[in-house]
Amino acid sequence: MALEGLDLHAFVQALSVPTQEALGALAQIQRQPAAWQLAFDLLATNDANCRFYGAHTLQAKIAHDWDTLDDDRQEALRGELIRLVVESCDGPASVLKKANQALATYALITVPARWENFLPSVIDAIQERARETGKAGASAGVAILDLLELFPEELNRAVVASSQHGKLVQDIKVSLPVVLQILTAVVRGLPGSAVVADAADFAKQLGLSPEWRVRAWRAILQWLQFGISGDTLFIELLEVCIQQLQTLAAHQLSGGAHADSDEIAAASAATDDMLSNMGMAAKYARSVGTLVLERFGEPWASQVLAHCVKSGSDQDAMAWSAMLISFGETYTEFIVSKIADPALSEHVGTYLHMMLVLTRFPGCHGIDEGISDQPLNFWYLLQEALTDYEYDADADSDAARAVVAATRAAVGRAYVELLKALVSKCAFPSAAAWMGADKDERDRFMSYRREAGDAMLNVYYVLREDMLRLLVDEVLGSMDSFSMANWQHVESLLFALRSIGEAVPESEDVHLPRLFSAEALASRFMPVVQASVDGDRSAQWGLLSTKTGVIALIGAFSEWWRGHPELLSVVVPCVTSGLSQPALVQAAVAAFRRICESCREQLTAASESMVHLACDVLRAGAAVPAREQQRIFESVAEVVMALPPQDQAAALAPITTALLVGIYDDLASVGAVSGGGDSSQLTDRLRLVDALARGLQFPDEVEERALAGDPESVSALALAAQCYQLSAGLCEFRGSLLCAMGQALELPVWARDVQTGMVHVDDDLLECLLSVVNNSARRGPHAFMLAFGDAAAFVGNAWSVLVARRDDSGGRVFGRRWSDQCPALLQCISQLATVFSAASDRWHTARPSMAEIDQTLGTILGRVIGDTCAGIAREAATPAAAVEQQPVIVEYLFDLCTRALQTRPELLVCCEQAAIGSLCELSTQALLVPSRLALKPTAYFLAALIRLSGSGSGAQCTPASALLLLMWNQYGAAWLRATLAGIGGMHPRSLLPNLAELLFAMAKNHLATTRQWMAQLLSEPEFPSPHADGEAKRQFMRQVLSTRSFVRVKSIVGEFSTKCRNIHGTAYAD
Amino acid sequence: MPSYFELYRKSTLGIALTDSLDDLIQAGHITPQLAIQVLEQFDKSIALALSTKVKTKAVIKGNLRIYRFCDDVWTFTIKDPTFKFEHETATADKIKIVACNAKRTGE
Repeated sequence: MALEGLDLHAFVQALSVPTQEALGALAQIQRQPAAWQLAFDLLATNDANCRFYGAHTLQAKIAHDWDTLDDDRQEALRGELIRLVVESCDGPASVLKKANQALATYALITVPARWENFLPSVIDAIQERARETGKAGASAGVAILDLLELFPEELNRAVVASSQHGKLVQDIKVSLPVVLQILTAVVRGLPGSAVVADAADFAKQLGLSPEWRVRAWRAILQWLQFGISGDTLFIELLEVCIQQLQTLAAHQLSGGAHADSDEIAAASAATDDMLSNMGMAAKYARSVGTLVLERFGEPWASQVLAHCVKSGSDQDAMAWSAMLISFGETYTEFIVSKIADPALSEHVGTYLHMMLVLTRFPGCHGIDEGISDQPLNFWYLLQEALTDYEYDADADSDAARAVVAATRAAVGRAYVELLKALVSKCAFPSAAAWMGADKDERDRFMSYRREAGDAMLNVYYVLREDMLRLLVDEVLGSMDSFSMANWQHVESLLFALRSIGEAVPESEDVHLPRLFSAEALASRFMPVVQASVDGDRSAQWGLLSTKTGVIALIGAFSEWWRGHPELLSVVVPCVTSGLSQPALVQAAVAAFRRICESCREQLTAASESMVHLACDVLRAGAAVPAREQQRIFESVAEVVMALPPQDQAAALAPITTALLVGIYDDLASVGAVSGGGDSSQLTDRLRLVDALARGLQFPDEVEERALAGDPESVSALALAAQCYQLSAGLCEFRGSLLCAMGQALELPVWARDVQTGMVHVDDDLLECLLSVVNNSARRGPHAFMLAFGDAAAFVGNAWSVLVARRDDSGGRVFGRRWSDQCPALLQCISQLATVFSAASDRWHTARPSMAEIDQTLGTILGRVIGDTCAGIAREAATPAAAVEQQPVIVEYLFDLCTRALQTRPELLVCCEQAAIGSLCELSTQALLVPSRLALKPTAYFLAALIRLSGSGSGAQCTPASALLLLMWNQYGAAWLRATLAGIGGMHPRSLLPNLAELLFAMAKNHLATTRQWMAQLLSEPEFPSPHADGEAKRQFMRQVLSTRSFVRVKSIVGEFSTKCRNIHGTAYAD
Repeated sequence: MPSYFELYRKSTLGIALTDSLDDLIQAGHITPQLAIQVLEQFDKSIALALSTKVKTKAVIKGNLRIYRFCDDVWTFTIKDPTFKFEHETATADKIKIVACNAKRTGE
């Protein structure tokens, strides 16, 4: 086993430095069988580096070349390793650690089959060996502690077979008492701790060192993961932990030298882990919970928290609070059940007080403290536990009812305090602190406010009316004395009320009417919204925050306004008055939308003024951002939709007229510019039409019910359809809109890209035009819906314009513009196919015949398919590369074709043959490209096509199914080849479900041809993969063709694919 | 060794990682065993990141159609859900929420 050619002396010299060359050579040598000897040669030297690399080599050989040793050598190695550990125990820490790692690696292989009772025996063996070699007891202790600290980490890192892992952990669990006895003896070395009579001497000695105590605490935490079975050991250990924490607290309170932050953090982490153990909490809640409440109820715990608050140390508070909070989160039900128990109520009260102290930790969260969000989850759990407790209580017993009432009262008192704490914590800090904070700090504060807002909801679920009373009283009082001196408090109160807005029932009729009376709205809220201040930036910031708070509060109670419609005439102006203030617009629009959404029916009486509001917004122009204008228009339209259909046209007239006038003005001004002008204003105005169209849609559920035949919904839609059809105003509007849209389509509108300086077609305008068509073309009636012929002609023209621009441009820049716009057009055509090709709906009376629709839409579809395939092909030299470069267009094209297949397969019959051929070619290419975006819709389309082609012959044959069968016969073999290649490893495994679905459709609908083609393809050598042998391929084919279950096909495909990828039989294949 | 939930392997990130590992295995750059270790590390890291790094909250409202609690896993099927984020709203036809007990993670 000698290392030929190696000059050991020179190598040792080089490794003692160590040089890069030596380290490189060592890595090579470690792979050789003779490296076992090299390990011991290096360990025999006196140099620390060489000994380290010797231990490292030994560990590497045990891990990787274990089987190269015979049984005797393997057995003897254990003694060698223990000898090595003991020899290293008073040397450099790195060598000892590496020696222990080698020993741990050995143990991971041999325990328990060849080394039972590992931990006690190794501890004894190290001590024995140390005695034999005259080592000091403390040195042996260092070796033992180091091993105990390191072994759980090694076990976590190791890749161990699950059967071996289970046996190993079982062996370890049996020995846990011994391990924990040693480690707790070390941590009890802290001065002031109780004396442990039976502790090993080495543990007592090491316990005098703070560093070893910290390491022992961390080791305890590591060992806890293996799980302590039985409450005796668990409670004993917990008592030790809390006792030591008390001692540490005493040191911290006295400001002594032994108040080490690391030790506190380590002790707290171990205790935290124990108190988070849900298994123990489920089994021993009473004994553990009582112990902890009694111990945390002692003065030291409150005192140490008070000390942290006083010193303002987040780090210390975090260390102490973690375990307190964990206890509360894990033992919540126990806490609730004991809150009225005379034996523990005082302790529970102390505990809740500590939680409140943490919740109201001084400072502004995120800016100068980070602790006060920690207990919020506890308050949520406590509220839930109270609800469960009340639900489970015996309602027939007077005594039980009394206990429940006492419990609720006690919890209620705590939540009143919590409410005060949250309101104070949610208040914005001083202007100086806020302005001085960076973005992250401000974000943390706002994030905390959201969490605190959720906690306010928990408070509401406990206190209900009491909370409303407290907050309303406080808000009314504070608003009366509102000034820039107390704005933070007022804003925080408004935020608290806003947080519970959605939970307060409409029927609340006691406290909210005091806050939201017409008088209060007019005299308290409106003046704040309209106020202005001439102060500095900080005063303006304060006033704006308060105004936003007022408006957001009104929006949050939108459900409540529904039950109080008499107030809407005051509420809406209060909100909309914010529209004239740029900084308030966003909040005002958000609140306005919520109110419109919730109070649609109640606002119909005011629909006229709502429409006038929209006109005012239109006149205001840029003062209200375009996006916010659209939101207002959509909401106003939603309110108009709540009117009877016969009244809608008249209600809409002012705004539709104003919009049309503006659109024609814009068209004229853009057209007047030679070569085309800026179309942004025209686009904005068309977007408002689009917003109205969105708002005027019938709800999806009404359309769905009508499609399902619900008579009430059908008659509602029929009435609306008739009204929209007969309304002269709407007819004129639709005609004018169509004319304007046609003109806009032909406009030479160009824009210059600010960044690149390149001139391009205005994308937004075309997208906007298509969006108007999309949003007004619905299965149900729509006030703006264009007649089929008009809509089809418009979309056909749009497509022609787009293709003409692409073809005229010649350059790639304009090719890219086409790529960007093409998906929107494909989507629009898909929508038309869905709406107009579906089975005739009873409420649409003025539709052309299906044959005419098929012919018109089919012609457009054929053109679109042909042009799109040609457009994709222009993008690259090869078809595969082109598909790879344009996956989005491929996706939209096949989505459109799938939609056409599912709603009206006859559309494909009307397409030109060349277009169908191009589509089939493209689908074959898309199946070969490993792009998820392109492949999924392609596979979905082909599966749908193959399913429908199944009836392409025989009595049920239709022209459509005959065409689909023809496509299958011509291209099926190519599709099957691409599918099998994908399964065989060409595509990622995540795409297998799609390929399996396609294969399943082939086998199910065309069994004979699929069998024939599959046999031919799989007989090709190395297809679909060189790793799949003939037997595997035959088995795959037999299984796929003999099952009718898709789930089974997926499983068969998955298994065959792993064989093709050469990972079959490995855990990774699962 | 602590085990973590494997459900995030079906996320976009997890699928992309698995696909990349497949490629590396097929090219012979890594062994399946190493790929498993990578995925286990992914399970751990994503669980940790989601529990400690993500502060975003959303309110989900919709019609609860199906719910069940089996093997410590809650499953909810919600029709027409609306997700309200801090600054935006999103909708869907149907979603399935699979919720596992985070406290078990790493135990």
